[in-house]
Amino acid sequence: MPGDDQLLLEVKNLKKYFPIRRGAFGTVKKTVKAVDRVSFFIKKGETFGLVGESGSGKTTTGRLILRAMEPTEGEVIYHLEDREPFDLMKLSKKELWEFRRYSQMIFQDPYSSLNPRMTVRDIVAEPLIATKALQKEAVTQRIRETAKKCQVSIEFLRRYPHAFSGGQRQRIGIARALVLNPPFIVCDEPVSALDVSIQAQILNLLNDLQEELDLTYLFIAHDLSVVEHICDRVGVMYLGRLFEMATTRDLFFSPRHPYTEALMSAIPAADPSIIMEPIKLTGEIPSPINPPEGCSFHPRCRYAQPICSQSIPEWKEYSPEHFAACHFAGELELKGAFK
Amino acid sequence: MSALNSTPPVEIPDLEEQTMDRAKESFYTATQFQLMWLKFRRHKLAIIGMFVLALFLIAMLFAEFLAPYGSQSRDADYLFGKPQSIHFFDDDGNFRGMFVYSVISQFNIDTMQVDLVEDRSEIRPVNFFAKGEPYKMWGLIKGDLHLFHVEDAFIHLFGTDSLGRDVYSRVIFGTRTSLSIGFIGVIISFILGLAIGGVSGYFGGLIDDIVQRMIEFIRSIPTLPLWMSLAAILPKEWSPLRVYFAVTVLLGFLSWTTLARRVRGKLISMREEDFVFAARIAGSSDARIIWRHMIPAFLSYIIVDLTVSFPAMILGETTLSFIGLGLREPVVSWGVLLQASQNIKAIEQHPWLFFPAIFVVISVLAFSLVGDGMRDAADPYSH
Amino acid sequence: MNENDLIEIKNLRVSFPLDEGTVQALDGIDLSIPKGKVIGIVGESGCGKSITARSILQIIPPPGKIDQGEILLRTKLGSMNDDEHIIDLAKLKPDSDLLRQIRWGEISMVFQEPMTSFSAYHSLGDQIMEALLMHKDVSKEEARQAAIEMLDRVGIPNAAVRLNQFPHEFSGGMRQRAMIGMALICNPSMLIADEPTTSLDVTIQAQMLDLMKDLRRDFGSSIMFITHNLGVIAQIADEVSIMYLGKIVEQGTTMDIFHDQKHPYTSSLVEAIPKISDARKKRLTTIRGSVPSPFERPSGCPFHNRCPKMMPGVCDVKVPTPIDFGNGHKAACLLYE
Ligand SMILES: Nc1ncnc2c1ncn2[C@@H]1O[C@H](COP(=O)(O)OP(=O)(O)O)[C@@H](O)[C@H]1O
Ligand SMILES: Nc1ncnc2c1ncn2[C@@H]1O[C@H](COP(=O)(O)OP(=O)(O)O)[C@@H](O)[C@H]1O
Ligand code: SF4
Ligand SMILES: [Mg+2]
Ligand SMILES: [Mg+2]
Repeated sequence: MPGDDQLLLEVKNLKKYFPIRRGAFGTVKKTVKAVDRVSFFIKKGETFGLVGESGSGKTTTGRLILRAMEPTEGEVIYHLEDREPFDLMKLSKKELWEFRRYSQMIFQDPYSSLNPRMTVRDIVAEPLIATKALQKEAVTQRIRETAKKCQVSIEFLRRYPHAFSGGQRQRIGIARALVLNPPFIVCDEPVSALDVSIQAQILNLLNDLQEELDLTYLFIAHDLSVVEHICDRVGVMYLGRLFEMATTRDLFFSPRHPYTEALMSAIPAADPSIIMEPIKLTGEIPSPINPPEGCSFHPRCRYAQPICSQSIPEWKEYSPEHFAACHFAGELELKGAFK
Repeated sequence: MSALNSTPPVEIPDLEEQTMDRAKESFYTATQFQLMWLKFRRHKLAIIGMFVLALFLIAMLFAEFLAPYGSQSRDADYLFGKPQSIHFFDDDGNFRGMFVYSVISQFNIDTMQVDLVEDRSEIRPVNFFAKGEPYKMWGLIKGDLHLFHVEDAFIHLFGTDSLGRDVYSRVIFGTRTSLSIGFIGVIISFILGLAIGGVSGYFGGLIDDIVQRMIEFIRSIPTLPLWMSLAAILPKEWSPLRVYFAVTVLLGFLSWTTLARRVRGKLISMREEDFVFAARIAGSSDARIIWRHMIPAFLSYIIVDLTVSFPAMILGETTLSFIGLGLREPVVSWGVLLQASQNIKAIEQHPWLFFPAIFVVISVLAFSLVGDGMRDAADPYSH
Repeated sequence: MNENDLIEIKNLRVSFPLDEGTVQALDGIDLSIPKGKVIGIVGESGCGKSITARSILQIIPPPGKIDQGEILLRTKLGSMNDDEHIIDLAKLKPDSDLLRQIRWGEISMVFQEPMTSFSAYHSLGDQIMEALLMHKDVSKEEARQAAIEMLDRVGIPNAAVRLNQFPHEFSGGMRQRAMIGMALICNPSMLIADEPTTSLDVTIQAQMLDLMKDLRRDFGSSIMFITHNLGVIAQIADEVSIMYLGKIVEQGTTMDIFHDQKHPYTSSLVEAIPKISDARKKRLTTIRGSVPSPFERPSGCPFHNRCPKMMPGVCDVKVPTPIDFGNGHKAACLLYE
C-alpha cells in the first residue's frame, strides 16, 4: 500500500445493494448486490482502470465514489491537497455540495449525457453556475478557456448539441467536466460508444489534458486494449466484487486471478498472425440476485477446488500493489496477455 | 504520471466547419420549439387542423360580434324555419350585392298549414360591420357591432329552432361554451396530472403505489356510466351556471389520469438520464434540475397530451348534455343544441337542427389532426 | 462470375430519398463472396455495412431502394431441373416467393440485437422449428429433433428443456447462440452476421467467434461478417473489405489488410486502435475530423478531407477507381494512379 501522501482516495468495504421491488405494493424481497465489499485506492495523478463485463458493477462503483448515489455501506476517504482526509459518505448535504468542485464525471453516451435543450455554452457553464464557483463576469472567460483546451471551437458555444457528431459531443462533455478545474474525473466508458478513429482522438485528448492539468482519472471500460493503453493501474470486477488489482504491466503480464486470465485470453488481437486461444468459461454469468456461494466465480473456474464453493476468498496483497481475491492466487501460474 | 509519454503538440482535429453557411448555422442554433415547428410544418393536415382551430378560437372569443343575434333572441314569425338563401341577383337578374328576402307566413288552403314563403317584393341587403342587436361582450363590454346584420328583417343562415331562435347564432355561442369547458377541463386535468403524477414519480415508494392503484381504479370504470352517475348527483335546483362549472370540473377530474401517468413515467425515466445525473454531480439543486432539465424535456409531451385530450372533453360535455344530465338552457352548448335533434323525426323534418353536430365533428377532427402532428414533432431530437 | 463464388455484387447503388435530401448509402459496391470463406466487412458506423447486407436479402428499410447494380447468387432454388444456376437477387421483387425461399433457406442473417429478431410471444423452440418447417419438407417431430440438435450444437446446455423457454429467459450470449442456431437450421449456403458480437462481453464474444469458426468448418457455409471491431475481424475473416461512405476503399486477404495496407484510410484505422504490447506507449494515430454527414459527400475521393496523404487538386477532383495489386488485393486511392 502506498503512503497517504501519494493517495487521492481510498475505498473501504464499499457496498451497494439495490432492492428489487415485487408485488403490488412493492414488498422488498431480494436485492441485487451491485457492489459488494469493494476496496481499492487511487493514487494522485494516475489513471486507474476498472474493467469487467457489463453488469459487474463498474458504473455503480464510479457513481458511489462521487456519492452520486448513497452506498449501502462503506467508506470513501479523500485526501485532497488543501484539506484533511475525510470520508465522503459522512459529509452533510452542504459539504457534499462544496465537494462537487473536486470531482466530475464523463459519460459513455455522448447523446444522452448532453441536455439537447441547452446550448453548448449553458451545458459547459452548468457546474460553474450550480456550484457558484466563479463570479458572473469570470464565467465566460473560463468557458472559453476550457472549450479551447478540449478542442471545442468557440463559435460552437451558441449551438445546441444536435449540431454535433459523437466525437464532438464527447469533447463538450469533457469540457463540462473540466470547467471547474477538478483534480479528479470519473470517466465511465468515455470511448465505448465512439468509432475507432474518434476513439483515438478522445484517448489522446484525455491523455494531454491529464499531463497539462495534473488530473487523476478513474477510467471505466470494458475494452481491455483501451485500458492497457491508457491506465497505470487496473482493477478487475466480476458480479459486484473486485477480483484483482495491480499495475497495468503486472496485470497483463502475470495475472493472479483465473478470471483475469480468462479475460486476457479473450481479447481479439488486431493482428491475424496472433492466434487467439480463449479459455472456455463454462456456463453463463450467474445472476447478481443469487450470486454463487463462496467465490462467485467458482462455477466457471477451471482451477476451482471444493473450498472455492465454501468460503469467500480474502482480498490480499500478494506482491507489492498486486491484490487478488482467489484462494489460489499465490500458487497458480497464469498466462497474461503479453506473449 | 501517465504511462503515456507524449511529445507531439496537440493537433486540433475537426474544426472542419470553416465555411459556415447561414442556413445550417441557424439550424444548429435552433431551440426546441423552433425544431418542433420545423417538424410540425411538414404535416399538411395538422396545419389545416390548426387553421380550423384558430377559426374556432376566434368564434369563441368574439361570439357576440360574429353572431347576429343573442342566443335567446326570437324571431316569432319564423319557427322551425329552414336556412334562408342568400341572394345576389334580383328577379330581373340585376346584381344587387348580398341580400336576403324577408319571410312571411301564409296559410296554405290545400295543406291547412302555415307555410313560410319569401317576400320577394323587397330586398334586404346584408350589411357588414353594421350596428345591430346590443350586447355585452363576455358580459362586460357593451357593444352593438356585428359582423353582418340585416335591417328591418332577420337573417337565419342555419335556420331557426322551435322557438324561432337563430341556430347560427346559437351554434356560435355554443362553441364558446363547449370549447371553454374543454379549456377549463384541460387546465384542471393538467394541474392535477402534473401534481399527482409529479409527486408519484418524484417520491416513488408507497405514495407511488397508492397513486398508481388509484389511477388504475379510475381508468377501469367505464366512462359513460360513471359520468351519468356523477352528473345525476348534481342537484336539480342548481342554476345552469353552477351546473356548467360542475360539469367542467367533473370532466377535468376524470381525465387527469393519462397525464399523470405520462408525467410520472417521464420523471422516472428522466431521473435516470445521464444529463440529469450530470447536473446533479455538477452540484445543481433539485429545483434547478426540475426547472432547467426536467420540465423543458417533457413540456412538449404534455402539450401533445393536452391537445389529444381536448376532443374527449368536448365529446364528454356533448354526451352529457345530450342525454340531459349536463348543461341546460339558457346555457347553450353544442350538446344542449343537439338535444333538439334527439329523434330521427326531428332530424328528418328539420335537418338544420343538426348543424351543431357538424361543428362537434369538425372540432374533434381538427384537434386530432393537430395532435398527430404534434406527437411527431414532440421529440425533435429523435434520430 | 467466378466458379468458386457464391455471390457476386456488381456496382450496387442504394439510396434513401429523404425530406432533407438524398442519402447515397451505397455508391457502387463490387464484392464477391467465395464459397466457404469468411468475408469481413469493416467500417465506421454509417458507412453502409448493414445496407450492403440487407440489399442481398432485399430487406432495406424504407424509403431505401436499389438504384442500380446486380447481386448474383449461385443456387439450385428456382431452377427447373435442380441444377445450379445464377439469379440476380436485385431483380427479384422483395416479396416474391423465390426471394422468400432464399431468405433463411439459402442465405440467413444474424443481427446485432437478437431480441429484435425473436418474437417475445413464442418459445424459442417454436420459432426455430417454424423456420425449418417453412423451408424444408419435414414433420413436426423431425423439426423438433433438429431444433434440439442445433441448440445443442451451438452450445446451449440442456437444449431439450430450453427449447420451450421464451427469448427473455435467455442471457444475451445464449440468445445470440440461439439466433445463430436458428440461422443455420435450414443449412444455408451463406450466413450474414451483422455485428453479432458487438453487444456482448469479451469472454462471450470469444466463445461466439469460436463457435462461428467451428460451424464454418462443419457446415461449409460462407459467412459475411460485419463489424467495426478490427480485433474481431483479424481473428475471424479470411478476406476483408474496408468501407467508407458507401464505397469499398480496400479489399484483400486479412494479412494484406493488417500488414500491407494500401489505402490511407485502412492504415489510419489499423494504427488508431490501441494494441496490447509490451512496448512503450505512443500516442495513438488519429484520423482528423469525423465522418461527413451523409448529405455532404465530399467531391473526388470520399476520404480526401481527412486523408493525411491528400494531394490537393487531385484527390478533391478525381474519383479513384480500384487498383489491383494482385491476388485480389485492391485499393481505390489516387496515390497509385
Ligand atoms: N438503479 C438500479 N436499480 C437496480 N439495479 C441496478 C441499478 N443500477 C444498477 N443495477 C444493477 O447493478 C448491477 C451493476 O450494474 P452497473 O454498475 O451498471 O454495471 P456495469 O457498469 O459494470 O455494467 C447490474 O446487475 C445492474 O442490473
Ligand atoms: N432507415 C434509414 N433511413 C434513412 N437513411 C438510412 C437508413 N438506414 C441507413 N441509412 C443511411 O445509410 C447509410 C448506411 O447505413 P448502414 O448500412 O446502416 O451503416 P452501418 O451498418 O455501416 O453502420 C447511413 O449513413 C444512413 O444515412
Ligand atoms: S477462488 Fe477458486 S474459483 Fe475463484 S478464481 Fe480462484 S480458483 Fe477460481
Ligand atoms: Mg456501466
Ligand atoms: Mg450497422
